[in-house]
Amino acid sequence: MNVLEIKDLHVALSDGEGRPQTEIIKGLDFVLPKGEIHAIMGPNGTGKSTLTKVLAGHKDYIVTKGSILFLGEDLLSLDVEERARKGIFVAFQYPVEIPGVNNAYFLRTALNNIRKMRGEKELDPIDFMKLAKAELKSLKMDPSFLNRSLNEGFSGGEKKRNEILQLKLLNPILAILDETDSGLDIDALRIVAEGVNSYHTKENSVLMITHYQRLLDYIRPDVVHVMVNGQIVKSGNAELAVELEKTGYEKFAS
Amino acid sequence: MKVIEKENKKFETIQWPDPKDERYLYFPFDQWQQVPWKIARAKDEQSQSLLSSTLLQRLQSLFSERVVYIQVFANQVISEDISVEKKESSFFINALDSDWEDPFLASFQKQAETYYIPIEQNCIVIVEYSMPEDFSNSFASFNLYFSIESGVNVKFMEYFAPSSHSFFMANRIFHLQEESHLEKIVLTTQGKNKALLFDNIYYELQQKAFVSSVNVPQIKGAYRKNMYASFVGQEAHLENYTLHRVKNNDVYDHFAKLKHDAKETSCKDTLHAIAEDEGVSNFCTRIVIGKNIAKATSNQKAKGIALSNTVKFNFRPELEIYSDEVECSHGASIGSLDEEALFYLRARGLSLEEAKELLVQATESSILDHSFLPQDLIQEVIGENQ
Repeated sequence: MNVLEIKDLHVALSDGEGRPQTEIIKGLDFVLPKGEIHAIMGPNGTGKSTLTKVLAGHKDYIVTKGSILFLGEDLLSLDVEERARKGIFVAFQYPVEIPGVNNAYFLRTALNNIRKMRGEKELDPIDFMKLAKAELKSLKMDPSFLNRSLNEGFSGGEKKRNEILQLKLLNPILAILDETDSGLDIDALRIVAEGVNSYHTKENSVLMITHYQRLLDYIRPDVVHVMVNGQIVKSGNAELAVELEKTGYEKFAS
Repeated sequence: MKVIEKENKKFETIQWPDPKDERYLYFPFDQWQQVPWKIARAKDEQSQSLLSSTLLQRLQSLFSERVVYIQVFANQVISEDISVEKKESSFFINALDSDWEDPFLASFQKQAETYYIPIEQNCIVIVEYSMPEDFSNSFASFNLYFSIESGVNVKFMEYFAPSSHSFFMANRIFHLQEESHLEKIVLTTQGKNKALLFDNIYYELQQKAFVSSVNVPQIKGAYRKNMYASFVGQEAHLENYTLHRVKNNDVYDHFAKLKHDAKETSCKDTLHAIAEDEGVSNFCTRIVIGKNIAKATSNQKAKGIALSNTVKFNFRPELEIYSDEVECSHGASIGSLDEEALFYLRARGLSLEEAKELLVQATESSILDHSFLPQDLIQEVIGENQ
């Protein structure tokens, strides 16, 4: 079964009033089967991050043509929160800082919304803290993270780890990692990758967006795609990432 | 309650402000001038506290200091815990700085009952201001002069419970002697219908006196804050934080004049306003730094968050500086909730309403964090009697 099916997707940036302006994604086709890990690689400005925003439902990006199915359902007809509740999680490249919103309170609210959607019992604060502390330990994060404001004053690495903490707690069907490796030192990269690997099972799927092969040393993809100028131009196995590291993206530009 | 009587005559001596008076440019007096206000007077009896005994016990249990409870019921002030001395109104008026003169406020102060309350020991003070709910169109005014002795630390909670269709004119002087320390919170509860509340406060700060005040005015109707502060002693410091949420066509109107008359004094006046429907929020703070007042620091900041496109914000921060070597800043920003933050929260499964409420609460927290009372207790007090 396919978790994600994208057909002939065209996306433009909104002019701020809901009218399409510059086209960024220009006829993208993509399929992600259940249980697989796929990586999309490509040069700057090619539309990789735009794709993650479109999948999450950001209003600044307008789909002008094409379709996206998530588990066979029309994703584009769903609101942002409906997508999250149905099992889509985006680990953002630049997680937003929200002063005054307590990390623990936010995480519990998010988790309980998703549990409610799945027909599971909501967690009370005590049970939630037990669960969260266990996940924090696995990510080598200090428990004090839970009492801090959401991402406020976090270093780049802390923000990325906080995204992975959310991933592990929310346990979505599809995890989309948007340049999760950027800004991470080697140790942090390994911890984050271990977090992603411990999340991944045959029941869920991962889509990684990255520039570099180094993340793929830790999280082994089933398929690597090259995205250039808003389209997938080549797909292959993990060896393709190694080749890209040597040759770069230039040969795909033409 | 049988402790109040309403005089069967109209209060005729209100000298309503000139419409051109820049202090009241945005205040909707026309809505209130037509009301036939009747004076509410209390008899010499104490009524029951509006705050529940559980809540009062919780408040007391948080601190080790002695708790002083003062009840202001309509125009009458009663306390079994502290000396409350009745004075002529001239005692209050003469203590005011001539720069603070306001004919509108003065017309009330002249006729109001005046009480002198010296605070000589560290303590927690709870002052409750109320009027009974069944006296519509009733009006009460009082002058309270709190003198905080040198070196004394006071935690001070003021709780306003104006009844529907009532008009409260609360005049307070806080005279802070050398090295005295005042941490204050002002809370209100909403009546069933609209009310008019004037929260007039005058601070005089002697050397090294310190004031930190958090204000959470929630009212149906109109709330006017007049805050005047004179920094007369070196190294005196005042910080004032206000958080309010206006809905329907309610009005919050903040006017402050902060006068630095001594060196190395510092001040901060911060407002976070959250408005929806046709709510109106006004903020006019004037900082005045006199001649030869070196190393004064003063800052004023207003932030307005519009939850609908029919709200009004009138923010007017002003600086009057007559000295060199001072550090002053002022700023105002108005906008809606951060779209990227809303998107992030929704991308984690929160509904739009939940995400908005969380961001509003975050804005509230950034003000309430400055209070000596824990946030859950503040919410509980506000929630009482609603």
